[in-house]
Amino acid sequence: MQIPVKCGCGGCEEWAMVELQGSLDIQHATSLQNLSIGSLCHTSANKYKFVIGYHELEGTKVALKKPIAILKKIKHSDGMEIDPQLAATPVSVEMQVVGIIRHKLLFKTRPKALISKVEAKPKRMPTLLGH
Amino acid sequence: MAAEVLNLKLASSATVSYGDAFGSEDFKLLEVDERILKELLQDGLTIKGGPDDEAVLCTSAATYAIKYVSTSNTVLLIPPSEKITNGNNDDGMGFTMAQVVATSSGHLELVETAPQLDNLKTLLNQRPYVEDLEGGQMQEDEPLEGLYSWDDLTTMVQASDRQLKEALKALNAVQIGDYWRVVDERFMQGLLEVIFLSAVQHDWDLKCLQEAAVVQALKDDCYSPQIVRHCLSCYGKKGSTLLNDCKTSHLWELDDTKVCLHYAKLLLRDSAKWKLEEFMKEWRRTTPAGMEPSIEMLRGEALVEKLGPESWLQLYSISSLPTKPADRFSALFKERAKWEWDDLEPYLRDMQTPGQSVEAMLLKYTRKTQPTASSAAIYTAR
Ligand SMILES: [Zn+2]
Repeated sequence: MQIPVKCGCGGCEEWAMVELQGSLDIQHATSLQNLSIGSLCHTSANKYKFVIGYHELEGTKVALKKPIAILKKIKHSDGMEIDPQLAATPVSVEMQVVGIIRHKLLFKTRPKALISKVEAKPKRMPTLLGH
Repeated sequence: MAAEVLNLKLASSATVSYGDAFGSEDFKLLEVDERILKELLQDGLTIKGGPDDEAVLCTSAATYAIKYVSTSNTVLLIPPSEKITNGNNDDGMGFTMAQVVATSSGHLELVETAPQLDNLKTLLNQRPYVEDLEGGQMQEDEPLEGLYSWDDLTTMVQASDRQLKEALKALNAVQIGDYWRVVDERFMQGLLEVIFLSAVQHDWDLKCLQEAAVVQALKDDCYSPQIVRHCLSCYGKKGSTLLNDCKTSHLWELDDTKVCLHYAKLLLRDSAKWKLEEFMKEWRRTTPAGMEPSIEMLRGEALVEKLGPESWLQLYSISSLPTKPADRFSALFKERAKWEWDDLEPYLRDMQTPGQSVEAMLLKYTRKTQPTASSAAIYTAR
């Protein structure tokens, strides 16, 4: 079997990658869509601040050693195939490049608490679990 | 244009949130170098593999294993967005909305690997080309079972296009009609014999055969031009192009080693074991005049075994051995428990795989002993 891997757009754009230590712990949320994660701020030359709930992370913009292609699986069940031998596999799969990653915002510090005592957690707000 | 968060101005901020369609798409991250990325964006690449294979990724030239590397970090993927909200927030700074469309728990890495060519031989050997009656043309009602086109092979064989082409050449395969075929050795021998007979008859020089003349002469014996040209390319190398009467004709120089080897193989197939002297005598007798057989030509094709005062020869062709290093060494040590370097070396010639030298393979699969400093090294199974 062959799966083509190709660019479908002719000019793949650069995506951003944000990497955090640990995992985001989502509380009380039934669905993630449109849920706010936090606020990202470019504080100085190559310093970024990411505030998530009551935690603050410090990070930098890092160029990746090698680029990363973002691939999306696409299933064609088109009527284009008239070859009867191919009729046995009506669905052809293709991996399409939808973007390239060349940089990431890397937050590798442990989260620092903004307030020492958390009194009431607002609903639907992700918090950060460090390792 | 890149995702806005990468170009955040100093002192400005972005609100990062899960997008409308978060989690609805499954993305794979593939780490590539710039050269592969360029080919990926321009021409595309191909993932190949059957249900029982480990998938590989092929560029036009090379084959790569695909390795998954997971991360315990949280990785958010943010595409460039069409809708940039340039408003004012409380402190009067501009801000941006950044929408996360997916998270990732790892990425794929490529490791260059050897093409998997074992099944190519199996596919082509299902139906060798045994007769030339059809003159290169397929009969319309002929069943297609066991016949493979370029598209079939490139789908079924885990190799890049360039590697597949090289492998077909190494197997002396030829495209006849839509299908790639290996030509039956006995058929080829018959054809070669006719070429030699014609050479004697027309007083041709085997080092300087005129393609057009050979093709014309062999038409009478019902050999198609295509198969004649293929035979010349299997046993010779193309020389300069000749121009006469405004027609071009290639010149072919037959290769002593290839022709002699062909006759040696026929003898070795007829009889499992030969006394070396008898074999050499018979080999010289059957080889066309002007070509001198030598035992050196048989390296990688046959093995000499010393039994007391006598030397015996038997067929043992590199082309019959598996291509994966572990399988190759296992087959070699099944054939012989101990190998001298001189005997072993020809069977490792095609084994260089990306990232693995013959030296590394010897360390991994063999044990080397040297009884005395002056004696030859002996390799046994590890
Ligand atoms: Zn693209």
